[in-house]
Amino acid sequence: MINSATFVVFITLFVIFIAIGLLGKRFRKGDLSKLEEWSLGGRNMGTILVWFLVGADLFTAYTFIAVPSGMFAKGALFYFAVPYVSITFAIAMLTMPRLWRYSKKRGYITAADFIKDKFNSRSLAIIIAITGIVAELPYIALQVVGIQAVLTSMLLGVANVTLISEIAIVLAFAALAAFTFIAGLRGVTLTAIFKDALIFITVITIILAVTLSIGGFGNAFNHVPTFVTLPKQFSTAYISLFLMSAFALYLYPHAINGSLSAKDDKKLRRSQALLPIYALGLAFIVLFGVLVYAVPHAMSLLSSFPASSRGVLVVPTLIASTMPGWFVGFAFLGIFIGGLVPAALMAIAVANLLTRNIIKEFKPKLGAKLETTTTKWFAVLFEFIALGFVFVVPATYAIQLQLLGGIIILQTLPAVFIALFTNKLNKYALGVGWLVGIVSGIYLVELVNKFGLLSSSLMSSPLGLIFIGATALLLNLIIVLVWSAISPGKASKAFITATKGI
Amino acid sequence: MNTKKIVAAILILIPVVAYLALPLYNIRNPEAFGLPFFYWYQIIWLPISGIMFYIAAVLIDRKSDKGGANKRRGANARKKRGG
Repeated sequence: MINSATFVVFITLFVIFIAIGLLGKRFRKGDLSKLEEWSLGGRNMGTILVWFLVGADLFTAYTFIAVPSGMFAKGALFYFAVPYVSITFAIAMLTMPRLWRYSKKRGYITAADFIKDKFNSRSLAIIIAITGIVAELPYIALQVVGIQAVLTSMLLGVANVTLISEIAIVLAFAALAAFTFIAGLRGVTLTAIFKDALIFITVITIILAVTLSIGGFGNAFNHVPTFVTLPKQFSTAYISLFLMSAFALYLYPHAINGSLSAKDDKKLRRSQALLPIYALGLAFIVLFGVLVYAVPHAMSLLSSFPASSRGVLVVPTLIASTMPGWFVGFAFLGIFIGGLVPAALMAIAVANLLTRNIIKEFKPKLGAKLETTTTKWFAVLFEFIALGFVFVVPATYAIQLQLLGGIIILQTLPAVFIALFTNKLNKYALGVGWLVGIVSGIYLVELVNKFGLLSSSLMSSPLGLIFIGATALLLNLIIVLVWSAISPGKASKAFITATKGI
Repeated sequence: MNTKKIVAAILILIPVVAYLALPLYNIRNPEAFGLPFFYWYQIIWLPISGIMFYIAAVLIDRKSDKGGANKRRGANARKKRGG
């Protein structure tokens, strides 16, 4: 139920959220005119803080809105999100601590810094940075889509819904930009803890309350008997989706940015190892997409929306139709800031890439202080670009770009992950492999969608349906590995000397 | 290869294999609170993976301490606390 208590709780908690973000400035005080302090929190976060920070920024409003909506529409296939979030942390705990050690030693802030130093190649670093920015921007935009879904449900029945919700989003982003600019990663970390607390309480409460009131999950599955198991023809799709998504996640700039803020490599490894436990929240929230079928009131509300926008409203509608007003305000704010917190970290991460790996390449004399100021302004700018994007372009385009983003970010895997473990990769092979991966990935996606609206990322193969990202990455890997085996490259001398023994 | 490293590798691989064994868990029964096996099997592997990965993380980092190659500050203090 939505009543005045909903709005009071929502607004009060939002004010607290912004206050916490601004207070972040004083948290583990550092000189915020230094980029390392502003964007990595001075590399000073312990196991628990990194757990909250990375967890809060990987499980975003989009995850909480889009995965249940996929479950609602298509069923078990979307449960691939669960194995994905277990395996991705195995990959993180094996790769991120090593990247952290190199970064600490050599002062890197981004993955592209590492590429530039290791391969002594500006061009390779620039293409990795651009890939990161291009893949990340639709991700930020999708946070806005998640936020809009909450506002649409909350303002249902109010006159001028669109106008009011747009004003609310602009105000929220202005507040967000202020604390990103002022407190940097410290603000993001503190608000992440606040967000996590709200989301966990919401998920546990709803799962208990709704399953008890409908008499167990069984009743929900009775409405959609085809959702009980995964149809056999999707087996290979399921496995390729969870494996490739697991490899892709820690190539995204925000995941790397969060990891590099850890205090030391061991604390980082332990926090990543424990993140599958955080993912329990996701495993249950995805089931909202099934539970909703057993709540007639929610189903009738949903049927009043056009089929295309119904999906994103599943979670907010389920919450609004089963919980008392004040709790709806609490839960909605959880999802609302569940979009804002990751948007802040993503903006910081892409601003780092743009300033350090692109602008600085062409303006090498940018001083340390000016570099930080530039990055701060770019972070603010990116937040508003993402916002503007959603207002100007229909949400479906952001979703399509996000789908492409997942495929193109995977193509940086050889240069980022494999290069952590060997000095033999050939930089030209990395460049060509990247290009072939990106071109083939985009072409195949266009092909399976008949060059129209992008809705599918699966293609048929001799094994069965598979995720296109897997095919593109395979082509990329073959080029990189075969070429590097025939004509091995060399890591830069400076890198080898400095990183001996770590 | 050193024993600890092998144990760590096995601990990391077990959950991965558990999730790759899709045909084995893509079934309805037994259900738990009405939830088909397909779902709750994947849910309980989340905390199990967390625990296994954590033990693996401790093992991996202990090994590198012994190697003595790392001169990071506090490494000794942590070792005394039992890591």
